[in-house]
Amino acid sequence: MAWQRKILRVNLTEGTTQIEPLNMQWAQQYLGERGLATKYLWENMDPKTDPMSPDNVLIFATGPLTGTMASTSGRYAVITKGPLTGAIACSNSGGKFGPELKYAGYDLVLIQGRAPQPVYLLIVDDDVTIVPADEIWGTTVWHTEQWIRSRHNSPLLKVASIGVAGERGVRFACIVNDLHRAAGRSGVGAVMGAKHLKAIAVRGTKAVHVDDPTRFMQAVKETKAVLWDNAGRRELTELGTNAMIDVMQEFGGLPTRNFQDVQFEGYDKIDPEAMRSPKPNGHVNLLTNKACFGCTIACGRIAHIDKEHFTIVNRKEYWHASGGLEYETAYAFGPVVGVDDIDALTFASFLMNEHGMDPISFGVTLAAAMELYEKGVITQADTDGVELKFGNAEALTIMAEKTGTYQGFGQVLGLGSKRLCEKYGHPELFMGVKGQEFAGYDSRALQGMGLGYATSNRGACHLKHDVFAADMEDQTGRGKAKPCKESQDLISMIDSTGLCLFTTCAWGAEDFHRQIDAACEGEWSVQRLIETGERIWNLERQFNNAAGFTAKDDSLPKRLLEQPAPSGTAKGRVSELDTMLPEYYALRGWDTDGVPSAETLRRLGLA
Amino acid sequence: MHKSLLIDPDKCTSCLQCELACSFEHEGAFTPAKSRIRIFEFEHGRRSIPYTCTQCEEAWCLHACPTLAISINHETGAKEVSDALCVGCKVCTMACPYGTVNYNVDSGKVIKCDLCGGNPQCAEACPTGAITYGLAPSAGRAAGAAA
Amino acid sequence: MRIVVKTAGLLGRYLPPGSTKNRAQLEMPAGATPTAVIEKLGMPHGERYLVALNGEIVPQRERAVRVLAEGDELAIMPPLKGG
Repeated sequence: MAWQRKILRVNLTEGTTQIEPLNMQWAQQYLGERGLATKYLWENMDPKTDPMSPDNVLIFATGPLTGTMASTSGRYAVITKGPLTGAIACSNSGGKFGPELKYAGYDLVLIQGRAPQPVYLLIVDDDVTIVPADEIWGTTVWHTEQWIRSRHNSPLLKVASIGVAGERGVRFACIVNDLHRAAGRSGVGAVMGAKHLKAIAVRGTKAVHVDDPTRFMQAVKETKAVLWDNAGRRELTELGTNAMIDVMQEFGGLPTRNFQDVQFEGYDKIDPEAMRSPKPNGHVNLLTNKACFGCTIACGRIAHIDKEHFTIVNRKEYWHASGGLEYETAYAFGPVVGVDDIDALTFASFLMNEHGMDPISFGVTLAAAMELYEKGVITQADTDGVELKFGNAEALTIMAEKTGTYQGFGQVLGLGSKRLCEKYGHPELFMGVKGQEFAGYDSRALQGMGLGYATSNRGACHLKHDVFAADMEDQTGRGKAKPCKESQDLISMIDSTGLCLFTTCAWGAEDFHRQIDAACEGEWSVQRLIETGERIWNLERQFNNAAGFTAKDDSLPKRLLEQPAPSGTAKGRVSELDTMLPEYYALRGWDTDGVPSAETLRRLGLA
Repeated sequence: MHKSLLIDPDKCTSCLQCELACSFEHEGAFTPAKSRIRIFEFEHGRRSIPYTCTQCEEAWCLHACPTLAISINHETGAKEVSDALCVGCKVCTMACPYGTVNYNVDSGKVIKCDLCGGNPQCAEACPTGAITYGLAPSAGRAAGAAA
Repeated sequence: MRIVVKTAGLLGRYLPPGSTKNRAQLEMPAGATPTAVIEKLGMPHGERYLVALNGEIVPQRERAVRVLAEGDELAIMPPLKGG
């Protein structure tokens, strides 16, 4: 048990919905969520498919532990082919939507085709309806959630939806659930838009059962205590993920002004201390913290913007509280665009949630545009008259809104950094991998992070490996391939359970094993779980190889390979990807072209 | 004087572990739809408030029940529903001014907080101390009367 | 000798009272090491802190032997990850 043993298949072209049994053989090989959905994607579409075409398949998947008592059991993942990258997209979100889908009785929802007219999907347990969405097409995520609940007179409906950005194909549009949690990266929201699917609304009143309730509850209780007592957990609860900004500043790994610098002079105006400190007029940014479903950490921030601030002084509709700054939003609206106005950052963050966009990709794309502007490649004639200089807080918020509503230069920013830089003849200014922009860690200071970025199957990403400990101990590339590979396998497994990666501040493989083994049918040893993770990683790689990616795509921008870090503890260093990558391929059992060997595929049951 | 569920909404992060624990205790599986305690969220999560039966003195539910299915557990003070006697008429759900007695479609009976016989699992599960079980200070906040 | 200690996050609570912006001046005996500073401040044992001396990383194995000098700036950062 722990699986609901059912999937929902929706064909939007035909207007049909169908409940099918879950393939339990696949569940035993791929667990759930990220892994299981990757298998379903692989079996249901040609990897060469255009991501924006009706033939792309869009999957919302829960894990076996989603909706159980295990700490952080609120996760679900969206798996599809990403329009930002052309690679497999694997975007994971918390909030309360995922468990609700599980309580409605489904392990995953698989969506095919394209609706002739805009629609949303209404799921109330076994009742599944495709409903016309004309009245909400063209509106925001926040409006859509509220409208659907009112329309069905059901405040308990949980909603995942897109804004105009997703409808209009912004390449980094995301899917937002519960107002401010998001399946954020790789443009999964644009896939939803291309399918004319505005939202999924779900209410579930069924139960999730586990295999051995007594053993499961004992494991849950003990692992929860371990998590609660952990120092890293306390940092996340009290300060949020943005605690990282002070560490990265000191370390010199905080990407600044499109990665021209690695430290940002204004960091202490946007750090956790700044979020808690009153301004001269008494306004305090941070209000409280908030948990996703089942979470013992509660790293989420709830903040509000100073009503006197230029961004909202005449816009009462933004005077309420909403999701506040996390580290990645602070980085993407702060250092990488050179802005240190905390209210402007918070407003940009609200806009991302309201319009459904990935803050990382938006911020790094804007940073590239700012560098092009400062170099004189683009001018105010291109930017709707906005002075697109680093540090211009107004430019940040204006462009966030223009992109979210698909107006003017926002349409160009909506291409993402790679396409934007190519459009203006400067592909070298794109800061990312496989078309996806970097998170807030510089590969010259964190060498293992650089290897992880280069090899991540969804393009540059900081969440698919964990080499932080080794990177902060030794700033060379030596010995980084092994922890990179091993953590990728571990995390592929964790992402397939329904639990949150942030538990790894306290938990190791053994802690996941105890909970999975008690909850799920079958024997789930640590070794089997890690091998499951490795199988998932290799299947994602097979998808990308079949989509046309090669070893050439496992690379970093020249800026990080050739221009030394100008300051910080890694001053003078460049990324050592060229030595790390061959070692990594060898450890993976891949040939020098990055293709899994026949033996590797056989070992993992992928041949 | 009986102990009661003490609610401090300022500490609630809306993690719903109380709902999970409650449903597991009473249903043997995880199903927040059947939890006897509920979290209500306001203003994009700025406030989250746990809400359940206050085991009020007046006990409207008890007096309204035509089959005498609701009785007081004198050890805990909880008003408890007897599944054997409940016929699912729902009169108690209308009588309760707090809306904390609810009808369970699957069983055809009503469900409400019974303080888990004196070891309330919601308080046990709450990681932040937003829900505790103890003697209410005279000016303290009891369950349901919060905020 | 006097050194400057910098930290971040909740570790700031271990700095002497009156410290601001997670910085403090600290009086240490001659020959003191980063490990001695961590102990003097009472920061919990067994954590994998990030330690930098005057902007250079001090690996774990050197923390108990590297000798500090007057005016040194020692950064002790919490073992964060993710974000």
